[in-house]
Amino acid sequence: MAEHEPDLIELKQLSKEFHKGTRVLDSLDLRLKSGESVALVGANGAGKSTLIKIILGLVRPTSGELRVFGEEPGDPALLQKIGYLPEVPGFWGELSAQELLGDMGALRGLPESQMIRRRERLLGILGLTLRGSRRMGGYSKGMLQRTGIAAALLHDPQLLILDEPMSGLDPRAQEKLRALLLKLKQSGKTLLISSHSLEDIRSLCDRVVVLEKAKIVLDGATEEILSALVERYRSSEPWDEDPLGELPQEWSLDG
Amino acid sequence: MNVRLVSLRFKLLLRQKIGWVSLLAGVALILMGYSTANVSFVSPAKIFWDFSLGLSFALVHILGIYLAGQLFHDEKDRRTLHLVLVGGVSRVRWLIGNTLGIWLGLLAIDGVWFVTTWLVSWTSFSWLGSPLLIQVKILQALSLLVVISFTALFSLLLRPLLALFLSASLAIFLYSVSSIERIFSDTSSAPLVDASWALSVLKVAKFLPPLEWFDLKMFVGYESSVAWGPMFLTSILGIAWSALLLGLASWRFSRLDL
Repeated sequence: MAEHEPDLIELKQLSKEFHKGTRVLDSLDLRLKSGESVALVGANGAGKSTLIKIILGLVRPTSGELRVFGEEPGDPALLQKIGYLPEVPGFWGELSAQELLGDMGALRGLPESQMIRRRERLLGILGLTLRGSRRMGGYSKGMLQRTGIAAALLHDPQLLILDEPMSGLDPRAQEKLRALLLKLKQSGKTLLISSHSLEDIRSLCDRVVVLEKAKIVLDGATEEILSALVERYRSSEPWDEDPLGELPQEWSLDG
Repeated sequence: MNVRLVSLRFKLLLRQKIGWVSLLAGVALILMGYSTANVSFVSPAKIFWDFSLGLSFALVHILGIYLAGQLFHDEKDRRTLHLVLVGGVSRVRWLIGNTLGIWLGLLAIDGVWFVTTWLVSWTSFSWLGSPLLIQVKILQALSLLVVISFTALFSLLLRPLLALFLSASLAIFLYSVSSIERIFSDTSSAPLVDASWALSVLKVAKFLPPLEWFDLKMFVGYESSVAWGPMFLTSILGIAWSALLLGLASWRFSRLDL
């Protein structure tokens, strides 16, 4: 990565504290350059989703600085450059995937003809051509996830933020999505992926950032960080405040 | 404001059960009102219109308070709020677009009820109505917008149930200020009730939207129209109150963590 390239995302001493005094992010420093593919890793509650929401402008940081594409986050014009897939995509069950993409394209200001072209292409790639006209209230979890991916890609964003992109997908769809994300990466898109799947991280990301107890504890090349992470998981000292308990020798709830 | 967002909310409302079931229930109730009017010996047309206008007034306000009070929390729980905001829509546009979408959806439903009433009135009672009916509907639409706006504001400040309760209570209070005032200033009941505190509470209403000014239903059957000048000024007042309340709601919304 060339040093002179501008940072796509830049965090300086960024912290977030909620009302009850819970600090969910503590003095984070992070830079993401254009074209990078970065995995955000951490236990449940480590602060990954909050960090993503801050980058998207949905949550305001308590202190510190944040620049996305050199601007303050949350600006509607800035969001035209970002595609976001939440961990659990939410839609209106009364609409079909076709209608949803049509409305999302219109809200983003895409010309009708371009929107229709892109919508049909994405629905085709994601296996929703036949069922795309049915109301989403009857969709399976995998179909909703694929619709979410289509909505995130419709405006051809420069930065893709994907929270557990493989969630709910069957193995074949996972393979397809992995191939799609690799293509996007090769085309120069910047990927920020929050995932618990080491396999996905290994195949898609060049860099891994590990969040633990509201802080960034590891940040570096994928293989190096994943090895360190596995060691960390194996370490005797539990890093989670409320770690998983030990399994009994033989299964019994009353023993 | 985003027209697409308004039309999306409008479309959703008419596809949701609450939208089309209310539409059909209203039509059915209006037709029931026809039977009630027919058994009256005195001016069945007036009774029919009183019933229909009262019914549509109550239904659109109940629906408006319910929909505007639930909007933010529902969309947030369903995560469609994030979908739209991340889709490049500003928070102010989201709030105003959705509020106007609910309002227009309810006006469309009310429009169907009005046409049904008018058709029944014309075919059964040979009464075509008067310009006053249009004036009633115009001012009712504007007062509904004020009610939806303060409900939207409360929903951003309070828990959903509390917001609904407060909005409904405030709407009832603002539509009844004169009646309440009459009860407490009635000298015959003065020895029994210490009305001074109640009358001082009523003074608060002077700083709130005067929704009573928008209610012309009681003139139907007696007047053919009211003067357009005061009606125009009342309309401007309704728009101004709605803009103020939606402005406050937008300010609050722009400061929320989502």
